[in-house]
Amino acid sequence: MAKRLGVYVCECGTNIADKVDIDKVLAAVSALKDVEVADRYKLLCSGDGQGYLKQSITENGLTHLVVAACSPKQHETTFMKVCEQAGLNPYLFQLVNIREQCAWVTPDGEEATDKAIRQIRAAISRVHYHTALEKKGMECNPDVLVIGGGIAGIKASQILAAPDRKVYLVEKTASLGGKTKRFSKLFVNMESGPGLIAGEIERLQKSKNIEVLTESEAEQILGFLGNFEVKVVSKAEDKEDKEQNFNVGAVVLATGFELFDAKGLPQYGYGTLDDVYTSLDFEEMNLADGPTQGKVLLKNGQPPKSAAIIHCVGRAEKGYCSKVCCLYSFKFDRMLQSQLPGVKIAHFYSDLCIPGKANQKFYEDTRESGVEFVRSAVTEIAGGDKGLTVKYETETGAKGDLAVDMVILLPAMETSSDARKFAEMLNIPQDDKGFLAEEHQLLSPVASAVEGVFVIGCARGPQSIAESIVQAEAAAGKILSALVPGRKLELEVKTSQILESFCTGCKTCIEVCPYGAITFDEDRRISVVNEVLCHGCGNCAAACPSGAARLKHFTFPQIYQELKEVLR
Amino acid sequence: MAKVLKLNKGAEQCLLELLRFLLERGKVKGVFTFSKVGESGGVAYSLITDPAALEAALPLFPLMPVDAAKVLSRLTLVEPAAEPIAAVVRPCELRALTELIKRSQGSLDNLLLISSTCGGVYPLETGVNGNIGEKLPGYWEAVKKGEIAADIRPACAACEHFVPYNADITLALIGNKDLDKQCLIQLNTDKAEQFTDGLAGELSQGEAKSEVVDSLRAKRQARKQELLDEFGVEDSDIQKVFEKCIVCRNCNKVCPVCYCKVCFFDSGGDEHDQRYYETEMGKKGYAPVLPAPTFYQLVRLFHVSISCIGCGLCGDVCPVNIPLWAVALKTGGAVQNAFDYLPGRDLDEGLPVTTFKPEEFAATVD
Repeated sequence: MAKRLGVYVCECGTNIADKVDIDKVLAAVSALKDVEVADRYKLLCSGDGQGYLKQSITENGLTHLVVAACSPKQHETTFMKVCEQAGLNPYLFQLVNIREQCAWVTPDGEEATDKAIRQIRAAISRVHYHTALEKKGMECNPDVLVIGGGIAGIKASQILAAPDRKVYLVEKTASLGGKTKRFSKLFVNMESGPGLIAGEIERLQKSKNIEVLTESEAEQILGFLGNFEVKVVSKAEDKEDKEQNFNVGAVVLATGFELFDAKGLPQYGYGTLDDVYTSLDFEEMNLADGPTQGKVLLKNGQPPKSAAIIHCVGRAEKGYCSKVCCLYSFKFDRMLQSQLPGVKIAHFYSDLCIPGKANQKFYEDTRESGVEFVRSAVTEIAGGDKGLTVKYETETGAKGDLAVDMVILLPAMETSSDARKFAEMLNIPQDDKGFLAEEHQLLSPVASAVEGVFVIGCARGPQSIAESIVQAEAAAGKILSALVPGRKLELEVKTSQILESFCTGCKTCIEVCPYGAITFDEDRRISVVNEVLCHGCGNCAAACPSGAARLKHFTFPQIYQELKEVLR
Repeated sequence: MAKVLKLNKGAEQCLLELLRFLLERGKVKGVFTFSKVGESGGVAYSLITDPAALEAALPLFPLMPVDAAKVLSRLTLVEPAAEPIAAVVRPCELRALTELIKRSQGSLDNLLLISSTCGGVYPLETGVNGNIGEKLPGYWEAVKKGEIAADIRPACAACEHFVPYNADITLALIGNKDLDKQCLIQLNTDKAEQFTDGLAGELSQGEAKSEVVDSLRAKRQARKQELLDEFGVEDSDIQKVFEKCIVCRNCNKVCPVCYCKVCFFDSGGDEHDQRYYETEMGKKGYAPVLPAPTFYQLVRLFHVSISCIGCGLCGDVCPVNIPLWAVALKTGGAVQNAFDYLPGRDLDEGLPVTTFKPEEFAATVD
């Protein structure tokens, strides 16, 4: 079929018209091969402009369209929609940016006009080589897998569960609640942790659409947004392993944290000296169902008369601030004081981190209540017959000793031991501290690099309870808007494809694909693109040494023809 | 720490004894080495399984009709060697093999890699004319003294990487004055020690490095500069360098790091439409019709520069005597320096195209 091209130059009000001589442009391009119409319009993106364009496409029976206007970022989709309305495949269209790349940046009018002609000629040359591409939709599964039954996982599950959306909540241990249920009090309002968790679990259990799988672990997760295949193995102690397979559309990782092992720093005496505890040991001691029925007692059964709280244990080793330790340490002061009137408490810290609207007051009140704060550069715990001694050295180099009955260490929070397992299983990167990395630290903080997999709570770094919940809500929001029951997922059209006869099997494309969209077919010894995962970035097409990887809409002839005219 | 095994035999006999030992003891299933073919002076890489067939083997014969990397890649492409094979290869061939393995074009599994410090090879023509025999005494004298043997290929005379990387076993040839009666075999890996366990010889700790190696490297570097200057690759017009090219694609076929299944020049990708000819004629008054030598050579350089190990085969097989080895050495060197990459040095040294560095070429980013 003969090609009939339409070329339309937008004046963009005065933005383009003031600099570029549009009539000269039209004269230069109207005689080019297969150009049927070449015309100008005041504002093509306006309602009237779109109407004019649609009518002109139809009336002239155009087969290809070139619009010279603004940035594709701004109006490419606008004009693609016009094409669709006019019955023209939107990929038989090329937008030329003669505003940002020409009128706005080229001071001389004549030069700007020449440049515009060159760019439009290039687009005309390119569009000759365009092929019609069809949009594809994929059925998606709206169900969600949440891994980790701590506060973040519980909250995400509650929000996501609905009559048309099932949530599988997989928890490694025998009960839900994570670390939070072991905190007898929560800062800053001193609410009961077990109480808060009990309420949340009750709400969770009321939902018929959440299947809780305790003592279970996800062993395999394969697939992509809208279609993950999951294998979960239940490992209850007194029962045989039970395997369960199901499909979900999205995965939320809420695998939590562990404490830095204070035994690795012998100067604190943890594990070797009596009455040196970590923060989690101390929380445990304060629980009504804990080893001392909630009483703070020394190993000899006596209540302590004094306690030292040591900050930043392992901070230097891990290389980051765990951001909640200072805050919960003030909670510890309250817990000690309420149980043991007259107890002397001293904090040894190198830096205090107390951001947030309620926390500064919490700290000041603590300080006023008689708790001592000693800024110490080097802190060590020594044992002896009479109890423990904190040996410290202030910033000025002055050394001191303080005898105490009990020492509470505040170890750094570190990534859970499961992070690596899930990073490898799902092909998502870990950051340099071992936490599961976000897709973008600032712009996309709860998504991972793999579409459809989200990371929330302490799995992505130290967080407070409130922050973990905010992230659970954020991830749930993203999933709710992406996976709507009954609606198909719209897939990228400009995907890559690998030509079997050209592929040498060197796997270079697999290395450079940021989306894990290319796999290797061992039988045929070639790479294969998964069109659902491919975002059309073109890395593979650029890196393939054999010309086997090709990106639709950015083929070699298309780019070559465009460049040739630009450089002519 | 490497170990050195000393055998009181000439280098070639010593190597043959090692190979025979490996075969007879059943430590390897086969030996991959250079061997005589027929009576007319032909040599080729063969896979020898019968110890008696080692009679025809010429493991140190200074000729390179084909790059061993290409052959070993073919041998192990579909699947790794099922049983151990001892492969005797030159340092540059080993580097090329490493580059191919990085691209999944073969496997090192079950290969025992035997190499040597390398005195270089003669041009193919010397082998074909049959006068290579006359040159051999002089060749081995030069190897003993650590000098550049007369008449070896310029690519070899200019080669700095004549001490193998990644070999399990290295024969220390360069600088061994007693090469005719004594041989030093350096065992670089545990694998090498296991395979040679039981071989009669004097075992000691350390390396078999001769001080002559460094002075030979300096001589070769100086020669490289002389040769590059002589060919004027530095500032010559690319069109002129390639204008003799007849696009026979010999260089493409022998290149060990050229590995595409379908070459771009077999794919029709270089065909032009009529508009191309019209444009060219409009601009210049004439249009070159395919094959286009400069385009062909540039595409080749673009494809192989990062992994070019300077084996020199391209130059050796060029029927119109374009100093392709010099072009490859110069271009490859520049590209590799830009990425701080030495092809074939280490299997774990990632290819620049797949290695992400947050900051690279800062000047070009601005």
